[in-house]
Amino acid sequence: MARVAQGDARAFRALSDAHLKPVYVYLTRLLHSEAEAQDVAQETFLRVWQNASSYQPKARITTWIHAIARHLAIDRLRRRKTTGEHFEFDDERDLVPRSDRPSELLEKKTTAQLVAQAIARLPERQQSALLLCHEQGLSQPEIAVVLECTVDAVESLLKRARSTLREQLQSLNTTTETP
Amino acid sequence: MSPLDRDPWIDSAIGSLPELDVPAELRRNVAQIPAQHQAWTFPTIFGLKSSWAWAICGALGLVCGLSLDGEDFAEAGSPTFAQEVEFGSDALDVNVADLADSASEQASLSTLAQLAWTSEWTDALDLTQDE
Repeated sequence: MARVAQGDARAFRALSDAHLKPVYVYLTRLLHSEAEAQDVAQETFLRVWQNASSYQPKARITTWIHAIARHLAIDRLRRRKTTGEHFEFDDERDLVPRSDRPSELLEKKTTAQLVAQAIARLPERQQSALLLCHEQGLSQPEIAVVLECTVDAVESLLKRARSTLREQLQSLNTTTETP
Repeated sequence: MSPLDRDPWIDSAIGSLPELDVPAELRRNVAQIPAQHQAWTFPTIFGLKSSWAWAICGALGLVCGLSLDGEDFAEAGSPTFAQEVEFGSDALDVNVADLADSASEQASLSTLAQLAWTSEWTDALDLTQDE
């Protein structure tokens, strides 16, 4: 990181190679749009390049980058709200899981869609806490840094998110099963 | 992360989400960031890098600027100085005109003022009071 702060392009390349994918995945899940996730991910790494000297080694690099990404994603979500921008989930192509067997593929696809919809219905902080914990593998103190709150608050967010997600999935599952 | 932090049911639900690959275009764009946005850094001065050196130079510049102002200020006859003498005399309850009378008749107010601005200001006052 110190080398990135000194303007070392090769160090930046190594940094982006290591962190681009998790950041992009997190943003895609949070924004539910690959195109917007690409924009925000690019902006995130531009900020990393420009502000590398302000990085404090007390937090892990991944935590710092995720915090930048989240701030930018929130801006994007706010802009959607204020401009009343019409937003739709990405088409199904983006939610197709990988499988060789058609029946399994269909089942996985349905589950993936249900999970994605259920996550999208959660408030942003709960979505972030859930994704950072269960998909990105960040610890609760690290999530607290990204969300700028206490570890207790993260615990509470996770508890509510898990319980709501269960309820949502059960109700969505019931709806899809109903003829 | 402790096992208590995890919830296998939720892990399995989130694990069902499809894997995502980073688009080649995004990878390319991110890789080009250093070339397109050269990070601006403070030029090195006296072997000292960056903002500290500039901060020191700025502070020195400020001090020099202030001392120059002080010299200008001390110039006798300048309206600013005359005002200052007036203010000072009011504060000390000494009449500038009396001071001028007590001193040599030839001494002009500006000469006295020049004298007063130096460390002899208090001495001059004492002399006047004695007289």
